[in-house]
Amino acid sequence: MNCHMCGQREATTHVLELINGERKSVWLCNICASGRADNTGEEPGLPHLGNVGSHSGESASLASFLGQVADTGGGPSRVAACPECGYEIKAFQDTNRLGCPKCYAHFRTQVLPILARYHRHASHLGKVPRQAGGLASQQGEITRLRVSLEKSIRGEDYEEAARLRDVMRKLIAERDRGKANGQGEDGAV
Amino acid sequence: MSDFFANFTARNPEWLTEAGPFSDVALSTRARLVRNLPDFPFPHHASDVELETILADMSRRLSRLPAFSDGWDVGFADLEAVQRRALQEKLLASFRLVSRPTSRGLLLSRDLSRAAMINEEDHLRLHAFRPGFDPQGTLASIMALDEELEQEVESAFSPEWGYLTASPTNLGTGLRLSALLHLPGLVLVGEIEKVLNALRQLQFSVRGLFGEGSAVRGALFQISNLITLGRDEAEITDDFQVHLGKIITYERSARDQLYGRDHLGIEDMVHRSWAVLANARVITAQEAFDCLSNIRLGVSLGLLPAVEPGRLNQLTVQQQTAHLELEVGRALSGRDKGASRAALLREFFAA
Repeated sequence: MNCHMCGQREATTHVLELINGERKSVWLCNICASGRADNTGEEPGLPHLGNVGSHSGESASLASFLGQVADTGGGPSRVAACPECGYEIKAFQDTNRLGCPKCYAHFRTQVLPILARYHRHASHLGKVPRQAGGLASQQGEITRLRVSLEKSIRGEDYEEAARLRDVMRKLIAERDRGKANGQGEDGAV
Repeated sequence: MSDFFANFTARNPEWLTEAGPFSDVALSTRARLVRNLPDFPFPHHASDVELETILADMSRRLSRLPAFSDGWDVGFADLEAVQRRALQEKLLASFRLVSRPTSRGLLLSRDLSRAAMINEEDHLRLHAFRPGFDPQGTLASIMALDEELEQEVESAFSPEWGYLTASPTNLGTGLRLSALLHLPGLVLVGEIEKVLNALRQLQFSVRGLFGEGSAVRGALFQISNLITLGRDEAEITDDFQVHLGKIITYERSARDQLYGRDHLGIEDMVHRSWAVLANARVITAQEAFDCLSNIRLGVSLGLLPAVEPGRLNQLTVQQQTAHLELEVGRALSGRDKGASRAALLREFFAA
């Protein structure tokens, strides 16, 4: 059987998705099942839901489940040098080090694939410093929900996954309203 | 600082000399946190003036923390080269700090269980150490230090990516746990490569005694987590505890298997090593590491009940070149070095 997503490769993985409250059976090849588009440049062997949250490597099946809660953060950027410290993207590619904390926001597009490859995740989970304030805590809660949602899907607990998706959707909307009201930005340091 | 280096060679951290959990296999556990200031370039991209500003500012703030207030602010650039190397031999300073001392700093708590390196790869690297294999205790210690730091220093942080670091490989929590494990059983039964490869597959790094780029000596392996982003501190620590706990179990079983298979051969190897250290007049660091490793194995098998593993840890550190040079008060070369090392070891093993 050919993969239902790319229609080209042999399907090897059976995925159950919940779409509009109905279970749908999908067969995928190992490339599509791991959520890796061919042009992401990621190495083979990365586990399935591990890349959720990485914009370049987001699992296709989970993205469809999440529907409108896809959390895109800031938009992609491509600059040759960091406007804050002058560090050049070429130096980053050569050394795998950034010039200053603000480089992360400016070199976002180049950093994301490295995070997915090295850490298998692309968003922070863990301690939030007190100074980072409300938006950071909110983002932490969104990330925690995303991890719980991944676990629910792995455990085929689709009712819980749907509940978590709705809570996440609400929190993301609240966060974005907060940003629009000038409380801060995601890439803030 | 003269106070700190007075009697330095005998000043050993408790985490290296005291027996901790699983101390038959684990010498010590270390936790590291990476933190940076939001408005300065990372050290490798900062100007000399910026580095000096960061060093002065961070030294002042860190010395106010309870952890360091009665400890030592080691003016790293002002130290003699041999003193810097001795700090590395005691595992209190990294190779990067030792090789580029200008505008670098090191603060140590009184009991040497916590350290802060300034302007290493990042503006600040905090370390906490515990004896034996104790990931939870070490995590608690480093997070308590981070709480103290938060009162004084605002760190570069992104809600999306966590604590921002010079290399994306440390991003997120910035937490790296390392355990120094003695694995002669797995080496001798020929299973070590299989076990280490499995650890690498699980995203752990395996290095020698002194970390990145250092050779494995005396069957001592430093094993650390690589993933710092997308898992919280507790999950990283639980994962570390589970996987390294299995390695400790494998090592114990390899030792039992070896001893059960050829107890005479093992006893001969252990006592021969003792005889070498008790009698050699000139000995290289490599041979000393290997003999100490065999003796440590003998202690864990109950063959040498009178020897404390902590004393072996102490000798493992003290037989290194910078410690020997500090002890005799001059630079040592070639045969002099080997003779000083042999004399130090004879003092204990021939007593």
